[in-house]
Amino acid sequence: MRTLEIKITANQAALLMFVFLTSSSIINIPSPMIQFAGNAAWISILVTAGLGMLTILPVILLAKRHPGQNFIQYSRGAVGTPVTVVFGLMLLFYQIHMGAAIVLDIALFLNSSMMRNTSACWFVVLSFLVAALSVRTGMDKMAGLFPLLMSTVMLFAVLITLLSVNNYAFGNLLPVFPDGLKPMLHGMYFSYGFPYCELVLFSMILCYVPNFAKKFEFKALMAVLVNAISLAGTTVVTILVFGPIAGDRKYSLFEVARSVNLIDVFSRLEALIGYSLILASFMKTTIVLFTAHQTCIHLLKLKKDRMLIFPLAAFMASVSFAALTRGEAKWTYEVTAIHPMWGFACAVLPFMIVFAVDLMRGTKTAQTTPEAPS
Amino acid sequence: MFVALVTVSLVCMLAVDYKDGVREGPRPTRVKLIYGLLLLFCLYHMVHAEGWVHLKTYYDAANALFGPMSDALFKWFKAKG
Repeated sequence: MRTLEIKITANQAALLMFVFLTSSSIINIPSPMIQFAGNAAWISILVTAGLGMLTILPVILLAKRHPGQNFIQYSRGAVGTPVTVVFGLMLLFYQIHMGAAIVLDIALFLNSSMMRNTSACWFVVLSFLVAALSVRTGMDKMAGLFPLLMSTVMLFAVLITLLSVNNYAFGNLLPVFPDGLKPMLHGMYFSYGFPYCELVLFSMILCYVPNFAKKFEFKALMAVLVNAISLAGTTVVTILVFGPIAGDRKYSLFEVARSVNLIDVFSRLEALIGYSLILASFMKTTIVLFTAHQTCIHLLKLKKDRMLIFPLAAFMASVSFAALTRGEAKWTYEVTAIHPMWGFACAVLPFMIVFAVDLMRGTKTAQTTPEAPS
Repeated sequence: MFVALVTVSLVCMLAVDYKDGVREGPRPTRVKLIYGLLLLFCLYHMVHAEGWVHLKTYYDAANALFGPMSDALFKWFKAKG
C-alpha cells in the first residue's frame, strides 16, 4: 500500500501556520471587518490575534505531550473512543464546510470580477482537483512549496499597498469608536472565526513534526503576530483608500489594486491580486483537505491511506455547488454569521474539552505515580 | 456543461482510485463503506445543485444548528446602547 510519508521540520510547521492564517484572509477579511467594526476593524484584528495565540498554545502543548499523535489519537486516550468519534465527526463537519467555503469564495470572486462568462463549476472542479492531487503528494511537499508561493502573495500585497500610497487619505482613519465598543466586538467575533479559531486544525498536522525546536512556541506566536500585522495593515490601507465606503467594496485589496495609477506606468495591477487570491485559496484548501482526510482516516483507525482523498474533495465540491445555488446573500450570511459559531462549537470547544481532560489526567498521573510504590 | 463536467470528474476519480485499489490491494470494508457514503452525499448535493430535488443540504443543517445562536448574537451586536 502506498503511504503518505510525512515529516516536516518545526520551522516548516511555523511557516505553514502563517500560510494557513494569512493566505485567503488577507484578501477576504478587510471588507467584512470594516463593515462590522468600522474604523476599529484593525484594532479588532489585533485583539483577536491575542485570542488566536491563546488558541494555538494548547494545540502545541498537546502535540508536545503526545509526540507523533494527532487530535483524534490523543483524544481517544483522554476522553475515550465514543466521545472521540463524536468530536471527530464534528471536526469533519467543520472541515468539509471550510474546504467548500474557500473554493466557493474563489469561484465567486472570479465570477464577479475577472471571468464573468465562465461557469463557476469550472473553478470549483479544477481547484479541488489540484488540491486533491497536492494532498496525494504528501504534507512534506506542501510544507516545502507553500512558503515559497506565500512569499509571492505577500510580495504583491505589499507592492499594491506601497503603490497605492498616492490614494491614502489619513483623515479616513477617524473616528475610531463612533458607536461605542459593540462594533469592535462584532469584528472580533468575525475575525476570531476567520481565521484564528481555524488554528485548531493544526492539531492534525503538528504530529508530523518529529522534533520541536526549543523555541517553537515563540515561532508559532510570531506567525500569528506577523499575520495579525498583515491583516491589520491591509485593513488600514483599505480604510485609507476608500474611507466610509471601504466596507462596501468586496475583495477590497483587489479594489485597492484597481485604483493604483502611478505615473501612468503602474496601473491596472489587479491581476496580481487575482493571482494572489487564487494561489492563497489553493494553499488553504489543500491544508484543509489534508486535515479533513487525516481526521477521516484516523476515525477509521487507519494510519496511512490515500483512498479517501478524492471522494472527500468531491464531496466538498458538491457542497460548494449546492451553496452556490442558494444565492450570494445567503452565502455572505453563512460566512459572516454562521462560520465563527460553527468553528467555535465544532473545533475549539471539543479541542478545549480534550485539552482540559488531558491536563487533569496528566496531573493525576503525576500525583499518583510517586505514591504507587508505597 | 455542469452535468458533463461532474460526470467526467467522477468517472476519472473512480478510475484512479480503482487503479490504486488494484495495485495496492483491497481496503477494509469500513473504508469502502465510507467511500460509498461520501459518493452518495456528493451525488445528492450535485443533484440538488442541478435543481432536480429541493431537499435539505449541508448548509441547511448548519443553519439549523448554529443559526439561532448567531442571530441572537448579531441582534445584540446591532442593538444600540
